[in-house]
Amino acid sequence: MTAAAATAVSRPVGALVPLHGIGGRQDLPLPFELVVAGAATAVVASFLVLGLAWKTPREARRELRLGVTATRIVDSATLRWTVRGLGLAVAAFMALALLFGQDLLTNPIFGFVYVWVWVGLVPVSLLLGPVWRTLNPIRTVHLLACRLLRTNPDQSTVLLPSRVGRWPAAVGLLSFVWLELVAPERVTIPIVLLWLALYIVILLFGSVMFGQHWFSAADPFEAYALTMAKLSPWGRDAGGELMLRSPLTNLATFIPQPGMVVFLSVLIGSTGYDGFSNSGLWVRSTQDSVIPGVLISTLGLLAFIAAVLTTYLAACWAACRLTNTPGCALPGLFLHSLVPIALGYVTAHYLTLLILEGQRVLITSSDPLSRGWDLFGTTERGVDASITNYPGLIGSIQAGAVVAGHILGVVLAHNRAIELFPRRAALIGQIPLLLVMVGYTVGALLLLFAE
Amino acid sequence: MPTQWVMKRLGRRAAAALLLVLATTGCTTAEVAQPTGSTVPSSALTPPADSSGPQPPSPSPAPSAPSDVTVAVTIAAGRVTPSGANVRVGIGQTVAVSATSDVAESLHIHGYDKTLNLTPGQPTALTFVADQRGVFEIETHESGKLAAKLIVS
Repeated sequence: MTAAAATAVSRPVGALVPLHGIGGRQDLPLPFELVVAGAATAVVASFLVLGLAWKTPREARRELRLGVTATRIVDSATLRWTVRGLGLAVAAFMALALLFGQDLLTNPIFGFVYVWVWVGLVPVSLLLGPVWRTLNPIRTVHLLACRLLRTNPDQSTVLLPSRVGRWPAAVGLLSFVWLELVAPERVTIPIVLLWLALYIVILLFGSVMFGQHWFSAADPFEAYALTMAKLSPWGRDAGGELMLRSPLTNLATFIPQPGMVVFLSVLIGSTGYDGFSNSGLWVRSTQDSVIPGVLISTLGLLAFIAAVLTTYLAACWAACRLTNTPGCALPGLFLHSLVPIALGYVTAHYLTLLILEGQRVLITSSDPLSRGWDLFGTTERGVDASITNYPGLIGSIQAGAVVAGHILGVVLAHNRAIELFPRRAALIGQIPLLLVMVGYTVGALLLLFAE
Repeated sequence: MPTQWVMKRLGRRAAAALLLVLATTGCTTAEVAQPTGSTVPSSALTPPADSSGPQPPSPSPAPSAPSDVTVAVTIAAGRVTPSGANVRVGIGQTVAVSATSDVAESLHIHGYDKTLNLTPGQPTALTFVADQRGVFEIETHESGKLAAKLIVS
């Protein structure tokens, strides 16, 4: 069989299928009872928070300081360079597969980008905190180049204006979700190579111009990972000492950089679109349309993102009006409450993908160039799909993640409202956002239910 | 910020409520799998009814044993029938997928990684046992259109 024929047989085309171009399996639709129960829980919990919960801002007192020694170990050059080396080694290995491997679905690069990095950065950040900054191989390349040239990695030729914030990362995220969910042939080497090449060039070029600060501003994966790291228990005090504290306390220290409202809207909206674009309704009404599929899908994706963005901004605007807050800064001040909602969304959509397809990356990595190698002794192993035998458990985790994300979001928004507004205004002021959050949650559950 | 207090006052209450609802509904979902008797939309069940042309022996093993669920796909004039249909399959059931096309195409069953290579005018079929739960797309390879989704539960 020629390579092309092998491709034809083994590649179930990327035209309509998003990640399933790699995976091929989607989760079963949620049973209707679970959707109703989840929605009811979300609504009841929301009004419990609004009506019965605390009336003055709550500050966490309990935090576990880990001491100077632990801080020194975590910050030590040895540990930092070990982690950097790990990130660089894995990236270099996958670069080999990308550049010299064959354009087959068994090339590990696809699963690496779409599953290990894109989905895997979430649990990594939740467990280990802001580790992505150190793992990020492009940051490491820049750092090594600076060492070699004996320049300061923070040095910039042009000063990046502070209002740039995370806007480049938001644009980068939009381009990645478009690649993941819309782009034709997205599970082929040329397309993935093109996107990654642009991503790397833009990051490296910018880092030369603006210094390593550019990575924080422009790397969509880093911006995503560091946002999720705010839901980890790892924090620092003013002096930089390491401590463990509640993820909610951590998240309240989230700094809403310019562009982050759009960034989170892209994250939530694209995940919603991913679910919607798999529904029979969408497929039936679009696949025989005269309008090109890419155009419809692009518009669908943008519509979902725009819906999240406008509803959130509208809720904040309404809250400003209701509380008579001049010079409305609320979109930024409430933004952290969207982070657990985003986490709920991605958990519901991508958890089984990470578990099942994450294993496949490990298997296909043993033979990255399709030459019959067995580098890690994993080639013969199959994917352990035993989790798929528990559809009730999977469904409960999906619905539970969405509802739990919603409750945490409402709790955070409530606390922020009573910090910002006088008592009565706080109660009224949080109603618009609460309604919008209920909308997001019910929408997410319906998308998981949609067949 | 709202940590201990939240956990005590609201979190615990809400979490208990949530767990309760999820536990009750979670149990019902585990019973969904039906060993026999599938509920397939009639559109997807239409047997390949083209007895007009000569029928050369199918290159793939024709389903001789009776299958539990049949999906008949027709590709004609750039359209795929059924289009985006949902086909419910019980775990362990036998699924027969048959297809005819007026162009050279291939039909792929995701997840189970089965492919039907179609030559114009030649009915082709395959059968397999649905042994993994989940939703699996049956999609044309060249035009990338979704014929049906197998909902194996």
